[in-house]
Amino acid sequence: MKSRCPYDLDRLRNKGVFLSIGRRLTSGKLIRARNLREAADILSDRLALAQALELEIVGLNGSPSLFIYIPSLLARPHIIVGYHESGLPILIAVEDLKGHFCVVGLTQAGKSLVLGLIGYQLVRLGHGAVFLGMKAPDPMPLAHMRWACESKTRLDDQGHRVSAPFAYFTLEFNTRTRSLNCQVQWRWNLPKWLKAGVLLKSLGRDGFINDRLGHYFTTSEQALLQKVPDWGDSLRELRDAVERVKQTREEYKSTSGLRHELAQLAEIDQLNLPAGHPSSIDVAAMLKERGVIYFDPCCLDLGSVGTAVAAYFLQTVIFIKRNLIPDRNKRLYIFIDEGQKLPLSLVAGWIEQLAAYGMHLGLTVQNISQLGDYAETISMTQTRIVFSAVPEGLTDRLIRSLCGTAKEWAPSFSVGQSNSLSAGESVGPSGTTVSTGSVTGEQLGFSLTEHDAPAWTTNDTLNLNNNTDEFLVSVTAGHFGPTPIRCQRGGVVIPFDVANALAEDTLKNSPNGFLPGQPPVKQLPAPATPNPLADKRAAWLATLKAKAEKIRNSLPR
Amino acid sequence: MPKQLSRTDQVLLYWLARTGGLRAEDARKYPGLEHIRTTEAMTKRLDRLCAAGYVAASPLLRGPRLYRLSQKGARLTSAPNSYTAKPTAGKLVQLVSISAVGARVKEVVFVSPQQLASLAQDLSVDPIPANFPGRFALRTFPASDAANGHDGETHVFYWLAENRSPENLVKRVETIIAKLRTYALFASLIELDLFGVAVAVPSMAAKAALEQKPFPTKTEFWVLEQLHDVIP
Repeated sequence: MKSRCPYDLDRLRNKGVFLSIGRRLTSGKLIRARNLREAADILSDRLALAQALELEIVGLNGSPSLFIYIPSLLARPHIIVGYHESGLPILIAVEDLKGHFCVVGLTQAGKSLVLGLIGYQLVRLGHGAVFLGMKAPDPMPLAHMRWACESKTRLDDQGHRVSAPFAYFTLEFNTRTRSLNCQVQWRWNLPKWLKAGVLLKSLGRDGFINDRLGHYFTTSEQALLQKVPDWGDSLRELRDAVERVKQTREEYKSTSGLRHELAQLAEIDQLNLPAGHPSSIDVAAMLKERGVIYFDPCCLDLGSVGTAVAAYFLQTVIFIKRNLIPDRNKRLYIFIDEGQKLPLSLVAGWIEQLAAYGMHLGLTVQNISQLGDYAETISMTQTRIVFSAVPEGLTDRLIRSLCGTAKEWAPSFSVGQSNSLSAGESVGPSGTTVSTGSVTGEQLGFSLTEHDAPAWTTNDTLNLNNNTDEFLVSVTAGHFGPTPIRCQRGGVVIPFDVANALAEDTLKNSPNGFLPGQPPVKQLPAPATPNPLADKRAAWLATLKAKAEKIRNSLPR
Repeated sequence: MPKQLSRTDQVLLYWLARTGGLRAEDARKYPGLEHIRTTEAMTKRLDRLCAAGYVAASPLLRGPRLYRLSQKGARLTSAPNSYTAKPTAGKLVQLVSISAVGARVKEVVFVSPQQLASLAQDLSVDPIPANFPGRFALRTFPASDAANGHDGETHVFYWLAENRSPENLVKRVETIIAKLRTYALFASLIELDLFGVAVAVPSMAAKAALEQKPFPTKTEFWVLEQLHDVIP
């Protein structure tokens, strides 16, 4: 563990990032950030940064400031995640989040807060984002995301500062929300086998390749979906269409899982409104405008239904990003709070494959062992932030492995004493000789033996758990060398009371939101404009309707 | 109706007279025939009517046969004589498509030439011939169908099921619309946005290809996989 300067300055210089500790680099115009909030704001506002030549971020508790040459920051944007234990600000290059990042910590450790802090800066830097809160609406990340969207840190075509669009979706009971019909987001005429595959995957109904029984059900369900002539424009219509498909008794049994899951999803109002509904979120447009969608499937109450909704939504987002904006430099960050609640096979697959398409994951989990068989894959994220760990648990072992070993010298002492006695008798011509002898000796020894010992011990874990303000940061091939560094928070960007007010405002006053389950508000008709054809059309419509009714009534029953 | 025909047989003949032809699998879904639980039972019943001389069967390229009225059946039901003629390949495409859709009476009701003539009379426009060619339907849009702005409205649709390339289908629709415009009934329906063309296609891919084409009027595409049985 490094306790003094955490930065590998030579490597930074080679990467083109010029920074100095306690000393100015230039005599040009300087911007000063006195705390975490100011640092996060200025680092994520490229337009403000471009006004000066050098940035000073004041260290914590009297620690020296960090000076950074701004052109290098503009070329390689950075974000702040906290302060080193020595008080120096800790910056991470946005490039180092390309290999995904993971935040681990016990409950109430502040994982969501860090996710919000990182998301806040990335969105202000102009990246699109999707935030998936897998428990229930969480004021801190929600407020960070919304505030980031409302920050005017981007330029439009005319060079004016503009904000980014923000949309909020929730399955929370009695809460206003936008609607998101995943079915109508698919703007491509996809073959049915492909749509069926994506739907089954997102519902967690694939992944049975090595399980013959599971494979039987998956293929049955795929076959059923392929038989549906028209999928309709919502899960509700799909459910009805699926129910109309003729099946044998055996097929009916083998596809009951899918039909039941579709039946659950079809009942959710906010997932089934038509595309033209005012509350509808257009995912493609949001991605194009690099906005933020905050998606709350409310798993705390809904369990597996919420999980299925979240997975289907994310799979839709991923598909749209890949096909609509394939440029990997136009990045989309996907933040998943409590990632262990999603199907882990999906998350592992995303970690392995998404970065190649310009999508980067940020996950929080309580501990690595929640990730089950996929723990190793999901731990492969490039940046890891650890708040706490169960001693001797899987997370603890991961930290220990990341910290490597340290050289230690084991002293040894030796004390010895020897006594020897001798007696002799010799007979010769001169007579007999008798001799006796005694030798006494003492030895004192001291030696030092070199050996490797874990640099991180259980006591370190206990200390980390005991201090809720501390965390470890490890970035593979980052600025800090191969081992993690010990950091502290050093404040918040948005105070808790402000965050709560912002979150409440989002839940209650989001434009175009609606309250699911409530009867629609009757719209007053617009004043009719005089139209000579309107009356004729109304009369003809009535005649056509009456004719159709008459014919229907004459049909045999 | 002869006494030896059961109520179900009579209903079956009625639907054959309305649609022009039915397949056993589709016939089970028609109002008044839902109590016949299996396709085999329906096939058996239709075969019995064949043996009795009321119905004739036409083989398709693939799959089960299409049943239509014989001369005797047409006389019994007062169906047009043209329904009894052996259908050409093109006619079969149309009959199979109508057979597949005709049971969905809440959405679409096919009208006979006489009913179309009576509609013109109800709308107080110039009369049209009682044997007006082509198949027409009254299409009722569902009340929740906000996508096209025709919530709960009933329009007149021309039913087009032909095995043609997308370009030729566009030309065909243009020709049909040009001919229909010469009649006051259809000219007014088109002007009031109460007329459309329903095109039956065998696959989503065909639908996707047609959706890119400019049609001269409101056009709907119905994907009917049953058409694979009649298209070479």
